[in-house]
Amino acid sequence: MKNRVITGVLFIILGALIAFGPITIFPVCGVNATQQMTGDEMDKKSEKEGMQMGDDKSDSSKATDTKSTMDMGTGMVMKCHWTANVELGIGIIIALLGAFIIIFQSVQIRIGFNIAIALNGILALLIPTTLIGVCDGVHMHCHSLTQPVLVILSSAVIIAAVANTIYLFGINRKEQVKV
Amino acid sequence: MKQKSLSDRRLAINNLKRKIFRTTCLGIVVAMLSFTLFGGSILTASLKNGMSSMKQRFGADLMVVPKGYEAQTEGILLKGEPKYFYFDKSVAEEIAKVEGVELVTSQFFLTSLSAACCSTKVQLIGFNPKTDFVIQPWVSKTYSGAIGDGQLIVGSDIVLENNNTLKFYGQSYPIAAQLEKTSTGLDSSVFMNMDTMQKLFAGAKKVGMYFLDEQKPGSSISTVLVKIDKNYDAEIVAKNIRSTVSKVEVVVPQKMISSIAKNLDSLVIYIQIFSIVLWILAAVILGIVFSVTINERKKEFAVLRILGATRKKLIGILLTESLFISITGGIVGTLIASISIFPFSTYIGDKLQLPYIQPHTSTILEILVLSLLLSIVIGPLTSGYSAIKISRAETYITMREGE
Repeated sequence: MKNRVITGVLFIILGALIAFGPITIFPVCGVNATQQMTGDEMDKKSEKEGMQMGDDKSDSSKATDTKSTMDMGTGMVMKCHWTANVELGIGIIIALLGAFIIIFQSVQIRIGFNIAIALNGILALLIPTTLIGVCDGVHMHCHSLTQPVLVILSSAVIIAAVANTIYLFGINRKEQVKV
Repeated sequence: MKQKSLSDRRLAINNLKRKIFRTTCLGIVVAMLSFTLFGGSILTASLKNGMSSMKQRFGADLMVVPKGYEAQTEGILLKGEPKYFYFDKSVAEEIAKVEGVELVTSQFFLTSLSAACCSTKVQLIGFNPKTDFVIQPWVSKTYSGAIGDGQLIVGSDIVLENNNTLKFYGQSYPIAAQLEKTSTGLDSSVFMNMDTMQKLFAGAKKVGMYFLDEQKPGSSISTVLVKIDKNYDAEIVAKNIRSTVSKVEVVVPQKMISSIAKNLDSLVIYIQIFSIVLWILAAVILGIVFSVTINERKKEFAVLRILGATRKKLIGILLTESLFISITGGIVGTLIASISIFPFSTYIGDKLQLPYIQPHTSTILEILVLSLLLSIVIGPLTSGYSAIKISRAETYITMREGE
């Protein structure tokens, strides 16, 4: 009972953090066009807008204004936005599996749930690092904050799930010996 | 069934397991202490490291920029905010003649549009390899050859494309070297010689960017970097330049650094005081708790004495208990501090707005050993007195107490 509640609640918390963290507590950069544009696209865009450069301050501010308009206007979505979307799905699944661990009493079923959680944890780890990734700029919020937090949370999920699976295997073996 | 001997270690572990709440609370106190000691020391070392790197990298004693652009220059140097401003090339010659000036070199600034490499605008800096005394000594740390035409040198924060090139204004340029981290705005800058800057400038014009006729790398410059004669004071030479050359402003990097250093010093002192206070506080808390709990366990120890345990064994059991608590708490605290600091070094540096470079592994290991030692030693140190006191108590009187 104790193991069920502790591990179940732990996975619900970790799953919720993986799911909702990237859109609330440690958010990704969000929808931002310029930062995802390639050099060519950007150059073409600037050509169209006839951006000017000069040595006085008014020209400089003009350039800044143009940039912010481009950011808002193009509507292209950054890489980290998709990472946040996928993590939302995976996190919810981890949290649900955590809830199932509390509900189901059978050790063998719980072993199955733990294996599923560990696999989901691996997926949650690979999404921001390899499969989708985050924005390239090292000082961007998703790169400096969201990615390391997601890596830590998913690692915690994997370690906890694997440790619990091993523990439950031990219990299962003891129960079989008793029978 | 196999019999296990009642060693100090076994007795201590069993005692700790039996009072799990007390053990956890004491462990948390030690963990908090080791977290603060290790985390605070790493933070302090990183800030000091960043500051020394910043001091080393501002190779020029003075920076001369067009009047009204001092704040923007500081933005480029400290935060990497891309800016561009120009004055006539002849200013460099005028400055070279000022009393106290030993060497001068000029640079040309341009900003990129948002590039695929960097997601945001980057500062493009053109320098003259013949006169330069600022960029090249820094470059030589990572790249021994000369920077050829069309080649770029990039700061540590610039993300390279797969084929080791960067694209600006529709043209790709090969990267000769990537510089070491400096914790200044120069980490997000791209450097090139003036010939490359001219090509890039032409590319910018080609894609439709408009410049005034006199604004081009051949005839205008953005800043003049000055190395002063050793016998002169930077402030006096700056004053000389201001009075001799019109419409210019002189930035003294050392002055700029000293104001940052002042902020950093106060933060470092605050962290150090906090660590010392917490260590004393943890020692007092642990001392009180050990004293109270050992006092409560008088009869337990008296029974052990009756069963044949020596005074030395009693001290051994108590010291082993406190050592286990300290080791576990120390390791957990250090682990949490490592997880909270190392993956987030960029974020911490950005939030502090201070130069922040993680120390080398050897320094980290030194800090780790010292923090663990200070955390581990606190348990036996604070429980030692109570342990000796209880071992000296008269068994018969202790057992009859309260009758």
